[in-house]
Amino acid sequence: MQADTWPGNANDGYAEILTRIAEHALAFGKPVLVVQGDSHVYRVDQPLVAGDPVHAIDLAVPNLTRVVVEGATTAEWMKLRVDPHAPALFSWERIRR
Amino acid sequence: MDMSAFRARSLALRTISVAVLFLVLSGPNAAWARCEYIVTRQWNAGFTANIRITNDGASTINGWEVAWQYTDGSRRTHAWNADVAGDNPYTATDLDWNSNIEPGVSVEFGVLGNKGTLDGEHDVPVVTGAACGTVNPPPVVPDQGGSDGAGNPSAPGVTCEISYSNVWNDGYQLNVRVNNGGTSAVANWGIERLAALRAIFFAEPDRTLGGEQLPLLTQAATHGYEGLPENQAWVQARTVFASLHVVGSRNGLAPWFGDDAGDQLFDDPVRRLAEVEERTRAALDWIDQSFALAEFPNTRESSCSCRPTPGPVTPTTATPRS
Repeated sequence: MQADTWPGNANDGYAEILTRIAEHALAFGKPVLVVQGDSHVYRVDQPLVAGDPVHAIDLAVPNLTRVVVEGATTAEWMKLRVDPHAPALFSWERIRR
Repeated sequence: MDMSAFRARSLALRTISVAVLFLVLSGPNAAWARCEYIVTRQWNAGFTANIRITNDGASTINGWEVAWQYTDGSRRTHAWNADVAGDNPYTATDLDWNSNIEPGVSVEFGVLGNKGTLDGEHDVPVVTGAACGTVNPPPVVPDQGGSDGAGNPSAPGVTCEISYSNVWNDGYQLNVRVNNGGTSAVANWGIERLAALRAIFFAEPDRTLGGEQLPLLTQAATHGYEGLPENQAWVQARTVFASLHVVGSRNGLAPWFGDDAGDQLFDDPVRRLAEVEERTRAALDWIDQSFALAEFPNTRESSCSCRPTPGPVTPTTATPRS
């Protein structure tokens, strides 16, 4: 998604969408990677690992990882790998020109 | 992403990725300059030209390097106001005194050279460089509600003026002024950019862009969501990839703005909130469908012990606030 939804605030309009993602991701139980943009600064976190009080989500979702890709202002893109053999299923590399 | 890596891996482990939409039209301001090659004089055997770098961005450019190449046999013989090196292609770098370019300011340097062909017309080469940016200047608004296909307002006397108040590498902020110079009131005018973006990037929502197009699932095939092509999904390497049309500026709740902070000239709360409601509902449905797809067993996986078992759904007390 284009939006950068975390940490966000209570009135940012994302609570319903994030709640839905959290519910499904928890039920799914496998790694879920959310890739976002908008704020243009590379960032990796687990925004739901202890729930998300800001968006009134009290589910702890340890299997969800979020990456914010660096903005195009630095001419960088992200190369994503999916390797079911690796302990970390998703891995990625920042490619700069 | 690395398709070869996907092809090389196969194991019946399904995962889901809620992937990205790279339609970023806003962000921090970076250097963006217009780089021009201006022929100032030419005669039968030679030419002089200025290369002008204009900082159209919002921040100062600290140091610059540009390059160009002649394709008509021309060669430069002298240069001034820059450190020019190379032998077609040429590179020019700043000197101490002209290395910084403030926003709105230009620097120029000159070259003198010989033409490749006597009495030929000196071709204008393209000037490139990191400061010149890798994207084209922002486009003119390609379509406007209440206008014809060429962007001309159809209502008599109505004109649209477009100006860019801020431009950076991958985004811009523009002002559109709609002037009614006619004799009657104009109703239902609109400025439509999303339709133009969709026509470019989602002309065929059931396949990817690119030379080797991959088939996609598209929400636009669902009744009621025909106009929302951004929500797409595909399955590769036993992974579900899904794009979600969720946008910044408070998921689209932020008022539409004009050229000044607090300028609500262009805001239309009814249309704005209707768009947010429809798009959010579509995104929620697409989240449901994407995870359902990830849970859905296929023939290879159904015979595999590593077929994932959905965990219990924990009830949530979360209260949507949007």
